[in-house]
Amino acid sequence: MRHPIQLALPLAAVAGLVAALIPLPAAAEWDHSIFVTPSGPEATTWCGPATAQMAMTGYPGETDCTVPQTDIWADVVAHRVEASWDTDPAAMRWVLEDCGGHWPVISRDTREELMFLVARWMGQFNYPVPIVVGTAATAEHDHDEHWVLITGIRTDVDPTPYPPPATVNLIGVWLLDPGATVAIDPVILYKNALQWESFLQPVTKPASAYAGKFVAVIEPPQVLGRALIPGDLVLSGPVIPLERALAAARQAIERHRLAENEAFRALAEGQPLTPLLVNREQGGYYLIPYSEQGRQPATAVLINAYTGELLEAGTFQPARFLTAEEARELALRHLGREKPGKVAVEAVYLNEAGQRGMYSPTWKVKVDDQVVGVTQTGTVLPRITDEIYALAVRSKRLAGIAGTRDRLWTTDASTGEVLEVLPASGAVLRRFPLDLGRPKGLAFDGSRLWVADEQAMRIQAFDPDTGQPGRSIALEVPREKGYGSLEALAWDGRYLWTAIAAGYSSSLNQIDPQTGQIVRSLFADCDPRGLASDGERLWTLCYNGRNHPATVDERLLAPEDREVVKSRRFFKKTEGGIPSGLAFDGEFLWYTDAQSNRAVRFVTPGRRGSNDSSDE
Amino acid sequence: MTTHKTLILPGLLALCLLVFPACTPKYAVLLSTNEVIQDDIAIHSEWWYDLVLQYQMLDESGFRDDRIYVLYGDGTDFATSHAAYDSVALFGHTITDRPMTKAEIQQVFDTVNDRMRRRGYLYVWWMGHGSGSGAGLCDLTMHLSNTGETVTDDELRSYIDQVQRYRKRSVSVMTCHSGGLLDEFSAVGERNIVLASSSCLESSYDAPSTCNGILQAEFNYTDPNALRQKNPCGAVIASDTSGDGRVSLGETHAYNGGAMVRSTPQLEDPDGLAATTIPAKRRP
Repeated sequence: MRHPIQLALPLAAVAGLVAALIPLPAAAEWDHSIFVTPSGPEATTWCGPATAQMAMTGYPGETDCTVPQTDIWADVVAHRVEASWDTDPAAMRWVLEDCGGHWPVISRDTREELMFLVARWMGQFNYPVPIVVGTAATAEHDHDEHWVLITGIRTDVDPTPYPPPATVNLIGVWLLDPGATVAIDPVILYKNALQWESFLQPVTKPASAYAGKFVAVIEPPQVLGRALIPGDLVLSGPVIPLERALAAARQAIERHRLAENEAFRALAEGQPLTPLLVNREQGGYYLIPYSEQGRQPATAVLINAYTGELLEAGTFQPARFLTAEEARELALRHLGREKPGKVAVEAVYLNEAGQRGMYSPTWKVKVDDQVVGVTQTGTVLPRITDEIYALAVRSKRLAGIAGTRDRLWTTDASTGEVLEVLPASGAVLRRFPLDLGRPKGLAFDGSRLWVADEQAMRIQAFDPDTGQPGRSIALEVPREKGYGSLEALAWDGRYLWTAIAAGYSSSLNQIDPQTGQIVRSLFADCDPRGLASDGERLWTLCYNGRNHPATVDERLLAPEDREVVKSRRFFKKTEGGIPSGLAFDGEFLWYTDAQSNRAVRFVTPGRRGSNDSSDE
Repeated sequence: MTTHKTLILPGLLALCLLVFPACTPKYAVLLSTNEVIQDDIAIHSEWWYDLVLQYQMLDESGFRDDRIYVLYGDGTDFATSHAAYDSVALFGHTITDRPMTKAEIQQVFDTVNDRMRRRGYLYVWWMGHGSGSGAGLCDLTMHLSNTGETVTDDELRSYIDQVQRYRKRSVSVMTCHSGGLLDEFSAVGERNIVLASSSCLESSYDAPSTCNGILQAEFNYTDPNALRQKNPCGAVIASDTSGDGRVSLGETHAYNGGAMVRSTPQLEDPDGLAATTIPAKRRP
């Protein structure tokens, strides 16, 4: 029987901010860490063997067991149960067991349950914990699966007594990341609970027994409980001033006692360099490098740019950080522009495989209409995307999209399926084969997903957890305008909206979800390919032919059509060739492109950061 | 004496042209029923680009600037980033005379009526959204998107009828279901010609491609191209099938029929005037 150990109610974001800035008494926290010798993978895709090797060096007592990675890899290949992994959990267990202990594979539906077990047993028995942080390529690991080693954990109360405490709050996690490839050195990281939440992702290998679960290999065996993560990671809003970021870093170093770890000595003995604001509009953070005695920094703290909370701290090869002015000069020289007009410089970290990580952001330099990137090593990139946060979705033809802050769904117009994908990576978590002819638009009303089937000319509701079908309504077409194709679906809080393409008669139609009848019809004044609403505003993704980028507009849902038309403004040019969907997740908009099968997150006009740091 | 005659006649003609502009009156009313706020947006920016191309065609066809009345948006030109569609760069002046409202439409035809002569030619061009209703969707309602007002096909006919003296008049209309306007001008003896972008049942669409990549409604691209005998890039358009060097509305319709692929252009010509009505002639 499960032992339901849970945490207190999650703290609100504001409370989290206050907590981050006001150091808690040390007695109110519990932390536990283990010394482990870092080692990186000796071959591509060997993050599993490298993690196992590190774990064995961290066994308690005199049982230090050092095994070459080549031997570990041979054991992995021999004892792997699921072929879709390089190192599957069963193989990891077999390898670790060889050095003593039991090492069961623990998989749980939630992070909270798994992290409680990690905290409780690491605290009691002093073994580090290999854990799968995701099975889809991300910017931080472009290998399809990634193992890291948890070497320390911090919670608000001690999770180890018996009987276990009813609740613990996770504060932070120490880990050793072996790196994704042989080219990257292992790094020591400390991640704040919220940052850890976005880092730790469930298994998304469809055929795996662990699909949808969070997986670790823990010694000794399981107990039940939860280490909950309070609040939500704040990803947008007004940017805090630089001075406040520096103060927040100082406090975070003290509160989390980061400098007590030898690898982070520079945080106590060194001086912070000028913070670098990265990704101002969404997912923004201050990168604050620390330098000892004028040497190049090798340690940095990342501070949330909107709340001042610690995101994480990390070490890296000593590096010099390029200033905005230096990046500007390099870009102008590359472009041969002696007398530029308008120049804007912004540091960006792009959520795409191949990026060097949050500690090495790229400078995006916009000179009039030309945009180039400048890396921290001074290399000029002739092309750089405008999209800060994009997900590659494994879909044949990505069409509609709908979502919340935590969940994201898309339709595949080619297979007729609805997919649930992870907002953190784009990995497909679930597929719903709904027997739809040509699903295109998708909308979420808070409990049901609505999908528009262009072939059947119907709008079908279904349960996003079970896939069970619900209400189905016939698609009504505004006769006076006409019909060419059904392109999109949206939910405004009370009504559904359809976007119908019909040349100059293309229309946006407000639909009663009970009767299916059109209660309001507007001319789209564009070739609509996506539609989204927050109840007050209506956004349209407009296709502009092959020569011009698709563009997103915003209109106020005013009572009079004239006011709706007058309120229109265009605010976002998209990338890609076949725009196919638009969604509002409660904070951000997302658009999909069927040519690249990407979902791109972007900011609505009303939520842009107020502190413009661009250099113009 | 013969020499004197040959000098006197052209002289009188020149004097007539200078002193009495109404000798060869050609008037145009261009009605673009929306307001553009952004370049390069399909089914939005065309309300400006198509208007400019019409104006350019009329300008090249000998319509004087002060006889081309333009109703558009809030009454001011759109500040486009495309030099080829910048009115001041093209014509040396802005082109919008009045805002696009229902009241202004009525007033502009009153103004034209005051100036028009019996031998005059009236050219009307309408660009906008259209809805179809009634039998066969042939009752056309046209939308003034920037004001939220509507104009029915009957109303448009009555506005045009405010111009009481004319020798011929033509209406070119680019809206969805614009074939619904034809029956308003189908009576014999009224000397009307109507060119429409689509049938009663059809929507109208953008041109699949244009020579310069500028977004244009299909009808509003092929129609002036035919009359100008060239596209906006200067390439020759073979619309002069008679070989007389000028293009009639009949030839224009024939060219549209061959060039348009997304909707079916319509012609109403109850008096058989289209073949001889050539806007570029001094007396169309």
